Amino acid sequence: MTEQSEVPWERLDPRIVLAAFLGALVRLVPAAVAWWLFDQTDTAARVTVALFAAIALVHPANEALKYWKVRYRITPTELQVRKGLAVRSAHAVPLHRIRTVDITAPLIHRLLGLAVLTVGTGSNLMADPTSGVALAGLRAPVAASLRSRLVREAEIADEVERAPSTATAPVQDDGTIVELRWGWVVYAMSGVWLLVGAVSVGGTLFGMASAIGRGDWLTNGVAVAAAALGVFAAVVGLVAFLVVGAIAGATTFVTGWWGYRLAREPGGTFVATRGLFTTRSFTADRARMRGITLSASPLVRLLGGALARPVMTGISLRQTMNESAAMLPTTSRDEAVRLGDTLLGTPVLAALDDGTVRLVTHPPAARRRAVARWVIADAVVAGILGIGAVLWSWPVWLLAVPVALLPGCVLAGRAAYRALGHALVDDHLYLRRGAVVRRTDVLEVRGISGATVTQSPVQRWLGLAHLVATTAAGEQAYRAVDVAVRDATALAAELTAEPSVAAPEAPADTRTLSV
Amino acid sequence: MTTPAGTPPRPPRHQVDPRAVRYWLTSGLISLVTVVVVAVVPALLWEPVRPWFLGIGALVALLVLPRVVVAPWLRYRTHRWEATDTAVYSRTGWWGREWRIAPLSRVQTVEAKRNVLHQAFGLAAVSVTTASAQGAIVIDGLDATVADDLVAALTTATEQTQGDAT
Repeated sequence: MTEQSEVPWERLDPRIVLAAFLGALVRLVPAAVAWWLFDQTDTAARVTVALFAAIALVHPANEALKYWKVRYRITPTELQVRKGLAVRSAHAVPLHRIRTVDITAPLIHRLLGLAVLTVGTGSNLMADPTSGVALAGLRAPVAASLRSRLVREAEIADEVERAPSTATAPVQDDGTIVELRWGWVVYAMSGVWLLVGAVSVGGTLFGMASAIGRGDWLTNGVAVAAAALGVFAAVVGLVAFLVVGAIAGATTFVTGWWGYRLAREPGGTFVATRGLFTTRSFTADRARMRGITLSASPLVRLLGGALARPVMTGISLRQTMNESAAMLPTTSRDEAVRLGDTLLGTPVLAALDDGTVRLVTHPPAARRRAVARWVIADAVVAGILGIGAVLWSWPVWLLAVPVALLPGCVLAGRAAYRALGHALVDDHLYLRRGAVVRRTDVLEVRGISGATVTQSPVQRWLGLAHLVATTAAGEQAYRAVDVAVRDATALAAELTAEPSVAAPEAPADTRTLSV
Repeated sequence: MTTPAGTPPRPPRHQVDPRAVRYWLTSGLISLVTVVVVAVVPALLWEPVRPWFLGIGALVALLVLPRVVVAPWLRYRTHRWEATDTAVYSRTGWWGREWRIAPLSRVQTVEAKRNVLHQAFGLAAVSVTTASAQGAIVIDGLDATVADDLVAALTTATEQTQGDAT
């Protein structure tokens, strides 16, 4: 696979050794703090301190060794990376397969003028050796020039596939499409962090305290506070929960999206740069976009916000998980629509808002199913409480809870039904669903690699079906929930360009393979 | 219900091999026997956990039972497949139903798989994947020769399409 070439091998920057040393010092801080707060009688605590110290040294030592271990070069056709001292391993990523280039700089790297360059090829196979490669510890300008070179090379190889790009948002002379607006912090504070923030912060604090044998400090503190507050404890607790969540959301937003700028480069690629401590720069090609997902959690929707996420091919699982591939924060809905359309190059989301594209409503049977689902869930709760009342003499008045919830369940089911909608207009498939977190997916038909129609016995009885469009991009599968079976069939036939599937009988003249 | 909701996708052209019924029956029986053994052996050896193991074992066995009693025949009626020069098309399921279509221009890999049980019955499973991590088409219970021919034909057909199909 690796071809012979005259191009000389390059090393990473020697400053990574210094970065590794500083990293070790920083990592030793928890061990030192733990030692200082050390509960001498606790064996677990002693083990923890030892582990902290070991972890603090192992990773930086490995990082420092990379200076001697890693060599890379760009031949006319490949990015080659060689690793190892005694046992050598080699990666070769064909340039035409490079889909995304992503530069991150953790704080220590940044102070030393270093950066990490990650190349994604879009393979979703964890084991695929060509799925992507990271060069950790390049001088920042070197990383930047490598990035533009790799993007350029990848584009040239891909020219055939390139779709014409038409801007829908005004682009400034320097290519800037959008820059950070501090008002967006409101959406970050009212999003998922509002609920998980306090849990995450509390869990981390308690975990650290108990790891050094001082967990009772926290629990005692909480107990004392609760006793002092008396009847107000619940209210104060809830307020504290939400405040911590909002602060956590704001902190995440500020550190993650500081200095955010989305720009279009002369070649037509998009670059998103952001980050306070760790800076990230994510580059993706317009030709990689296969659609847009617009989503909003309840509070964010109430505040008029939405999150647009491009559906891209060529994002590795790792990039998806660590969010380094995020190109847009949660913004106002109008802004999300504008940015989504700009990334996709056609006003698909705007067409939905101004009524050019109308979604097909799903049949009334879908409403019955949605309502039934919520009511059955409620009935299950009632059943469990009923069994509990009979067998373990739980208080019978508990049964009033599911009864009181019943109207709410019916409304929730109806809301879930109202959220349903789909349309296939020109070359785009629109899918909308979600009573709680509402999401709209717009997919380019060219990116769809297959269609599945599924029908459970209940759906068969109601004349409904799910349609799943599979794609190599984004979440890999996008579903239209409880469509009329006729529509599901027609969509499957159209998306795969196989009209015969929707015909009552197999046509006699189609040539079949084998048999 | 008499909703004029239309018809589902048409059935694909071919049925799988009739021996597939015995294959599914055997594999169902193996699962059933495994469940029973896993539940009964500890129950015999260790008195205190006996009711738990027998109870949970009976529950799981009850869930596995349809795979032996009805599923093989229902599967044989539902499972159908078709390969034209433009797409691979399958219908599967015995409880629910699932129709899958993959255009040949999007197909990335085609392979025939034969586990021990397949080999005992002279059968094979053909799996066809696209660039998506979802939606692979698996046609289980084909005659081994038919499967090999199908793989050869699909491989030739997909080689003629261009691009990375994403």
